[in-house]
Amino acid sequence: MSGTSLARGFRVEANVVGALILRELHTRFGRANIGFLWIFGEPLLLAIAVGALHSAQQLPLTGAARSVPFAIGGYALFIMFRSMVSRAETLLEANRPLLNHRFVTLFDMLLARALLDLGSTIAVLALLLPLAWLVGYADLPEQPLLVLAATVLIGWFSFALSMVVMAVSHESAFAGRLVHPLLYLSMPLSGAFFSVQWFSPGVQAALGWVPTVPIFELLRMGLFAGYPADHAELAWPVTCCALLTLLGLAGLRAVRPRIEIN
Amino acid sequence: MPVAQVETETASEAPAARRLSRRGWFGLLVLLPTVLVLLYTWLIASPQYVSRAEYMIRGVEQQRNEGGLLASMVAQGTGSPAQGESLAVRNFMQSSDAIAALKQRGIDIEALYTNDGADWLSRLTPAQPRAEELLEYYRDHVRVEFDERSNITKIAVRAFQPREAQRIAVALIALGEERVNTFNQRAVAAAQQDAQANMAGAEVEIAAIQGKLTAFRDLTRDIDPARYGEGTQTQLEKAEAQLVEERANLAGMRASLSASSPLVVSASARVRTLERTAAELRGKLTGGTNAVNNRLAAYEELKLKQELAVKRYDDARMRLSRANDQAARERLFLVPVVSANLPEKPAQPRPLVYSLATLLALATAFAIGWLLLAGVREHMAD
Repeated sequence: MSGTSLARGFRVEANVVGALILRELHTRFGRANIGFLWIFGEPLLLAIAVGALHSAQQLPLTGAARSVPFAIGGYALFIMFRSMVSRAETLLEANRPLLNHRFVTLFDMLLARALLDLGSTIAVLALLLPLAWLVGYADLPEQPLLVLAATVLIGWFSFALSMVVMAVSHESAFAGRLVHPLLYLSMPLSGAFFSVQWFSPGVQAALGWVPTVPIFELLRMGLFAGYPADHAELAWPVTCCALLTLLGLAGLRAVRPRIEIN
Repeated sequence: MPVAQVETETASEAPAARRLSRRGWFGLLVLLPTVLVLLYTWLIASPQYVSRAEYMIRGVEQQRNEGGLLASMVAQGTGSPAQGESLAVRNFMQSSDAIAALKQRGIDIEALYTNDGADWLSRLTPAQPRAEELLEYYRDHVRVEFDERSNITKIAVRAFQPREAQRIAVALIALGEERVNTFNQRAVAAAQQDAQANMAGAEVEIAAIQGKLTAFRDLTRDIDPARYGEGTQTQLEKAEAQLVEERANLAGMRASLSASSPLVVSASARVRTLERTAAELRGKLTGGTNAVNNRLAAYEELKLKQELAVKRYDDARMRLSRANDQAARERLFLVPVVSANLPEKPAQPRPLVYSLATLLALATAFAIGWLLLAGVREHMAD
């Protein structure tokens, strides 16, 4: 009995999230010109621009690392992170009326956005990396599964953080205002644009505590043959993701009864 | 109706059975595994001991100061002198070559870690592991880390017997030393090979020329054609001076005496003899194939060749000794920093730490799962 009703719950939730994704596509991009294809266009343009900027650069890296896939991969994942976390603050304002529907929860809204961002990022990578290879600025990813794993991990981290951000910014508008400056500050620290190898051992040890840094190292292990695995220890990032998820879920649960719908 | 109200209602309406089952799930998914981990680590798991050792690889003299300030600055950027060798030795120690070399020294890694004495979870299974399985297990139990800053390599060997851990660590350092010596021998051999070949060539050449000189002397029966030539030359000069004197003498006699006078006859006979002698001597010096000048030319050519060969030999010998010097200067040593200890306290298992970690990880996972399921449940209310 409880099993079947749980299954029904899953089905309903899946429908809700699916519907939210479609709604998100329309509200964010509309139906004009290429419509929701812009979800690819946005990161695509940014990644191409950044890749072009870095195309002439020679990276001080061992192995078969090249600058264009380095930049594309880092930017694509960082854009996903920024998109998920920065929109979490305004999500509630934009979608407040939706909460009138009993089946729609805050979690569903965030999940829908996260899935959308994750899907578009994977699509952009799947498009851009082979494109860069065709043009001659990159080699094909050495281990595509690792690239995918890194993307999913950053997605998980961003989603967990977005839940926390949503809960916190609902409680304190001031904290919500801090999200954007903090996101900018996180840019150089995130590991999206540097390799841990470039730093002295002391700095490397400190960087290892930034949860996204090992994930970006994992991304490069997937992208480049012979990229050293020294700094891609995933225990700490996964622990962080799990704790943030717990914190976020609990936060959403705590915030939910206090949200004014009208 | 506000959602908040719905939720509080469902929470308060939740039947006692469901709450109990939640506790039951918690017990089954979190507490039970934790207790199992605790029991296993506390009662069943075999103790594992870690023996640690440290060494560094360095040369006789810390290179440099050759080439002045710039070179020393560049050298600073390239890190410690024997870094490449340290990394090479580390890689060797973590390879299946090292496993084979340990076996040759009487330490059978496979037999040691598949031993029945250890509990079945931490020992190497299956009993006949494939090479990759063995290597993976070995790398997990023998850690070799190189620190670029201090130039020190640290070995940590984990085994079920303290003595075995120490034995492996000691043997690994000995193997490392062997490797370093192999590097040295290769370097010396490479440096010497060229110079030695040069020297051998020069030696052969000198011997050949010496042989030719001896043959020449045997043939011409004079030790030194130059000196022989000089002697002939003096004789000739003397004969010619005498000849001039005798001729003048003869001319004087002819003026006052008749041609048939015995004095004139004997004087003209002396002049003729002297003329013949001078001609003969001149012939010896310059005329014909066996004349001194020809022999002298051949002799001098041989002499020149000999000089060149000696010079080449000297050069090769100097280069060889320089190569030897350099090889000796660049010789690397494996210097033990901390010798392998005999561990007394087992490094593993640590029941409390492991159980606590299990508890926290599972509790977090359970809480996440429960919150997610609670979210799903909100969707299944009628």
